[in-house]
Amino acid sequence: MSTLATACSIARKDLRLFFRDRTGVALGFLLPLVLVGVFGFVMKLASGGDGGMSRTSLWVVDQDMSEASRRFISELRKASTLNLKPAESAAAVDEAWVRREIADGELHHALLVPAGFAAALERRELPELTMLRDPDRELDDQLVSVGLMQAAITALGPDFAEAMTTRMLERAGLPPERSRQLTHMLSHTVSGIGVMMLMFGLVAAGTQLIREREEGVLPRLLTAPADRAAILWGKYLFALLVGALQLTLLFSFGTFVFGVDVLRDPLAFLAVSGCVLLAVTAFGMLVAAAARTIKQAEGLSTLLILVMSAVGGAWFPLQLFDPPDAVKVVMACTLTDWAIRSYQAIFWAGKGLGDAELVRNLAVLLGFAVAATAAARELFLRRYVRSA
Amino acid sequence: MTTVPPARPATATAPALLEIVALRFAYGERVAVDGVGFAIRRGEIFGLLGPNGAGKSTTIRCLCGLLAPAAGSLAFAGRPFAPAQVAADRRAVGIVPQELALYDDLTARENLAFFGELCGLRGAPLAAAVARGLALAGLAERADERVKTYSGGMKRRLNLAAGDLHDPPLLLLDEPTAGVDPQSRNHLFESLEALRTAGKTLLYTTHYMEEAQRLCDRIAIVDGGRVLAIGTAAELAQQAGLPGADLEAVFLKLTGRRLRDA
Repeated sequence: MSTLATACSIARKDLRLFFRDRTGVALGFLLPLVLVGVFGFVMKLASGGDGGMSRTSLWVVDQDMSEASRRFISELRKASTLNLKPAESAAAVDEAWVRREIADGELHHALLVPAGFAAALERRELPELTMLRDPDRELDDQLVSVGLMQAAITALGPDFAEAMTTRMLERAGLPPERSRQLTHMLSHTVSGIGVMMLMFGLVAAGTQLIREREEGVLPRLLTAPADRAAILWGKYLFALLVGALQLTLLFSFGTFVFGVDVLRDPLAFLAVSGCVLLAVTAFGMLVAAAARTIKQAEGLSTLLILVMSAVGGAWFPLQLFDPPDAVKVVMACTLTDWAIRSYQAIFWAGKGLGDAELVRNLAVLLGFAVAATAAARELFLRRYVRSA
Repeated sequence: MTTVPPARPATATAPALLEIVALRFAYGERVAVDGVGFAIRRGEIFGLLGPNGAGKSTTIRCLCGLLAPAAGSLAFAGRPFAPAQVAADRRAVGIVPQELALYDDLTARENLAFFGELCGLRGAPLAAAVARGLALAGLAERADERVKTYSGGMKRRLNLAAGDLHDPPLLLLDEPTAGVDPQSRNHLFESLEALRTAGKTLLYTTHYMEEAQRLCDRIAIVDGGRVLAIGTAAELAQQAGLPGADLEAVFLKLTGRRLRDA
């Protein structure tokens, strides 16, 4: 009997068992929707207020080099919501540099104070300030806006302040193809909670293997005249199918309730979902193969998933706080970070499979899937077959 | 005192189906099977008796391919036999484990169909095997009820049918009657005797001496991972120096009265 046929038989049997447990199915599929809904609405409400955010980075390029521009920048430096860069003692940066850095995703907001700034003020005209921004950082707009207002009132007087700030942020507005009801936080929440719940669901699917050993069925599977590794592949296939169903429900919910346009680029969405599913399934299989009992698997997986979700930004986009490089490295070690980055790249940033960064994210997810699958297979054979 | 039946004439001279020579297996430092050797003839029910921790289950696990022996050799119908490594060799053996190796949330029919698929059966041969299994278990009328609704005896019968599903020439039965009522036990005995009549060879372990005496053509008594005596019940009684004694007396004489907890 071929390995594939054996794996299909096992997956079919596991699906049958899975859907027989109606309470389990209801919890497995409804709980993620409830969580996405709760988190989504909380984020929607939270992003409606100022949220008491901490400082955000704003780079400034002084092209006027006048007394007035220096005074304005000095006031910006005092703003309670801004961390103005470069520092006073550091070398100035130019427009080309900040444009390149924002395009590369290294900076998110930069203000150009153009030549003629002082002259415009003398003529009692609104200076033509230019704001460069990463559209992925919508929450920072509010912090920048508050800081600009504070500085403008002090440096330029209240007449100019509101008009200038409003015009600048309008010009730096959202890309036209993005739904205006969607916010960065909402699409992040749908992706983040979705990935986290997918991990919980697929670890539960993986523990079927341990349950079969504890209930004494595994010896019958292992003594069948079939490829023993097919047992693991059967579980893998089962988990993939359950995961695909779970993702379909989650993103349908995200689309209809929160306006996440998952099918804006169907190919990219399928590619990201496929890679995320493979990686998360491999993670579930690895946990199931590593644990000796269901309780061990549940404990280990809960710890790993919660840590990865917190550190990887599934609950809240940590990158909004400009974390230090060390934290960014830790974030990049989590499956959740790469999965969420990939979904955000297509949902929010509007990228497709032609984008090098998205392709790199998918390669990382696939690499994780291959490594975790190989480790799970080796552990399975060592634990269940060679020492059966 | 029970009268000891003689060996069945039909199997007394039959050729060996399975030959085990100097089988050895250790769990780390603990040697569980230490040079076990015996031959099972075609068509016989061969009993493997021993106290807890004697090495019976480890021997069975080596024979069905769950464990790879550390030393010794196995031959099936005169050919080398390596079920732990060779999937095709496992086709020759059916296992009826001590635990109920069934899915409680599947029906009897679904359980048998799944295990049949694992053995490579498809289509009409699978349907025929499932029907034969349900008949063997006496569950044809309740085939579409979930196993969790069955009594312990019904589950035991289904456990036996699942082991025989792919029609293997050799069945390994590890305490198949543990915890069943007299009616189900009697049904199991009749099923096993029917399998023998159909030409199957059975290796049977049990703690119930009267079962072994009723069913087994020959018996090996093992302890400490070694075979202490082998033969028909009458021959064992002779070897133990208790001619005419029942199997329990022989067993206690050979293995001692010390309690075994593992």
